[in-house]
Amino acid sequence: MTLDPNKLEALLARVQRNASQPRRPATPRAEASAAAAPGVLELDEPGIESVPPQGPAVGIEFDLEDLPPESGSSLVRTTNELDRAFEAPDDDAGPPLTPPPESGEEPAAKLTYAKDAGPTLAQLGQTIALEEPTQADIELGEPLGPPSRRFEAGESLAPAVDESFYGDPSTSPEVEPARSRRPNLTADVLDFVGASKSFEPESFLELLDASLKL
Amino acid sequence: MTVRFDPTRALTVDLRRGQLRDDEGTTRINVPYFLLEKLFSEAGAHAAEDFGRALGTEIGRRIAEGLGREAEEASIATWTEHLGGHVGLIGLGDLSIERWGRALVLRVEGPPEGAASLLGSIVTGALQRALGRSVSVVAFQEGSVVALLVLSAAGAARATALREAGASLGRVAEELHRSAS
Repeated sequence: MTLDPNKLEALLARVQRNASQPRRPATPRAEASAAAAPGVLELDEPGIESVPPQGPAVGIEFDLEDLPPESGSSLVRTTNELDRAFEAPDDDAGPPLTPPPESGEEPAAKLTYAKDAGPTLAQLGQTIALEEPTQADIELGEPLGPPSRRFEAGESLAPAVDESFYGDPSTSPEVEPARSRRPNLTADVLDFVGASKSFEPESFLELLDASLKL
Repeated sequence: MTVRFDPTRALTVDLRRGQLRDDEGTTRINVPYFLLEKLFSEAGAHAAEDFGRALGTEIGRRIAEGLGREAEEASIATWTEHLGGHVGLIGLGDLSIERWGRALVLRVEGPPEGAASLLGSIVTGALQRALGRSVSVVAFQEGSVVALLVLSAAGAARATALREAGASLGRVAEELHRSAS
């Protein structure tokens, strides 16, 4: 958008001139309308009658089901109207949202709306379906580093655990730890620290039953 | 298709009503752990174990319902995700599953201090409810890590004796394998 410096200066001068003049009283028609409908909000009042409860920040999801329905619909209606106004062609024959200055000397600066620059205002209030999580072999939240070591057949299976906790490394080839860690909720990650050479349970229950036989 | 653990809306804080509920609508309360531990010490070990088993039974029911018929065929990774997810949701640490030969070990990092017995009771109740297995748990703790060796009652008795004699988890697992072979 390009603006004419001369027009901007003229607009600034008009604003300063109008600011020094006393404010005009409300018209009788507006006063009558306000008196007839006491529930009508004035222009300076917010259009939302209720707000969500203001409490301390809690890291757990809050129940928003009890919010008055008019809160959401009011917001959507407002954004829809604004969006339609912005999306109207520049040469639209309809009246502009903001009336032109009374002097009529300077035309209002034209606003351009980039239709391809992301979602529209109306879309901001809508629910957008997210894509399915990928099965990427990464663990979110951890710093990037070398990939987890994967053991191959015939490779030494030294336990990657704290020996001070588990004691001396076992000399038995059957008693070597293999660990399955809980993955992040958005990624399917397994971190196998080691593997037993001769016992490969296909299910958790098979491992549990084997352990109960010891 | 493997059923993923879904913690969506697992807890809901309704400040207007002053209520805390889980995803099934069950009322919960948020209390400091040290007060719960004090209650356990005054109620006695038996009452504390009953509490842990009841809590574990509830977790086992949720796992069984979540996995459905897959519960018995589910992989170690799936059980790590579901059992670990539920243990994490109640704030008892990060659970992973280890396999020491044929011995099942549940490793919990970062549980509240002194929660080893409670974790053992919870695991016992959860496996009993979800898989119909009566298990006994022998806990090994050092620092902020608790390792729960899951055994039969007889195996747990031998493991407890070895642990009391100063044997480490690795040594206990090795002795159990040696005596079982």
